[in-house]
Amino acid sequence: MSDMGVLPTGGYAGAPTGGDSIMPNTIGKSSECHFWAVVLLIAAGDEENETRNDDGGAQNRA
Amino acid sequence: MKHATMMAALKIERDTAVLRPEQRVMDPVVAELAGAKLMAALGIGHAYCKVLSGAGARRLDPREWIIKSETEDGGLHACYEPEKFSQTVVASAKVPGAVPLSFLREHFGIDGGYPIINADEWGSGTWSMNGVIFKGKPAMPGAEQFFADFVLPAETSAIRAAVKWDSPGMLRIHAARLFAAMTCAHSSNILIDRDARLYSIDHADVARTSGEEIDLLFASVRPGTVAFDSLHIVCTLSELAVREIFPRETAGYYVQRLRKWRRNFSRAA
Repeated sequence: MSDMGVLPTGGYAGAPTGGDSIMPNTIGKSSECHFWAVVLLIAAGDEENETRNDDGGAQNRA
Repeated sequence: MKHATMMAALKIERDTAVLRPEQRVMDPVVAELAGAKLMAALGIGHAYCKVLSGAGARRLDPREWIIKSETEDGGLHACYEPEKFSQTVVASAKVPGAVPLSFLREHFGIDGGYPIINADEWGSGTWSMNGVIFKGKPAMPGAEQFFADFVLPAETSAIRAAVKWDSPGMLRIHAARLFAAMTCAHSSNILIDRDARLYSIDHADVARTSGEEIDLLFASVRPGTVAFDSLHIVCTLSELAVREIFPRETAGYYVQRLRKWRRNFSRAA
């Protein structure tokens, strides 16, 4: 939450900050991810996909 | 998932991660209302929304409404300080007895997981998947009181099945939001109630694209899978319905997307 009392509709605490990330440094700004649905739908149809239920080490990478 | 497919999806994602003004299909206030109408037309749970003045919104009960205020960056953001409401706001009604999936995970230890997609090779992609899709946003102020009317049933198997990242209900929501080029469903903009009914909320950001993501989708999702079947929900829309859901200036864009979606679906099925 910003000090303006406004919660962005996007914006995730501890997002990566660029570097050699293949994702740009946009998470945490004013918009969300639009087309992760493409990835999710494709992955859902992929017999080889596996599911995980932890944070995937996100905290360590943040 | 094939390397090339993932790269293509990420490129599309990167191009729209933060919308430039010319990439916005419509004003976020209008989009929020259109999104709710779209979900209603598709039989997907949603929150009732209405547009009103900031002054009018100050008279609403904050236990029953979330107020989304316009901001300088062209977005529409939940605002919890009435004195900072913009002139025009969207009031989104509380969905009785429903909680965001992130709340369900944090308070009841139930979550839907997320797919591992070449975790080593796509480290940051995987991060974004679990950070955005799985973990969701920070909880709103007073979330525990706001969602206190949710009571977890003794039998949770239906809820556990519904929130799984690749459940039919979740995939249909992904398909619906993707058709509208809205932001992706994640654990903070999907709610669930004790009857395991899912609700899609927050539809303010819609992107104008060439439709390449639709081509990529149908080129990559195999027919005969639950994922492919979930894409059919969009085909149930008529062009007339699309023209009634979306404002006149944008209806043509969505009719073209519907035609492209149907063409791809028929070709692949």
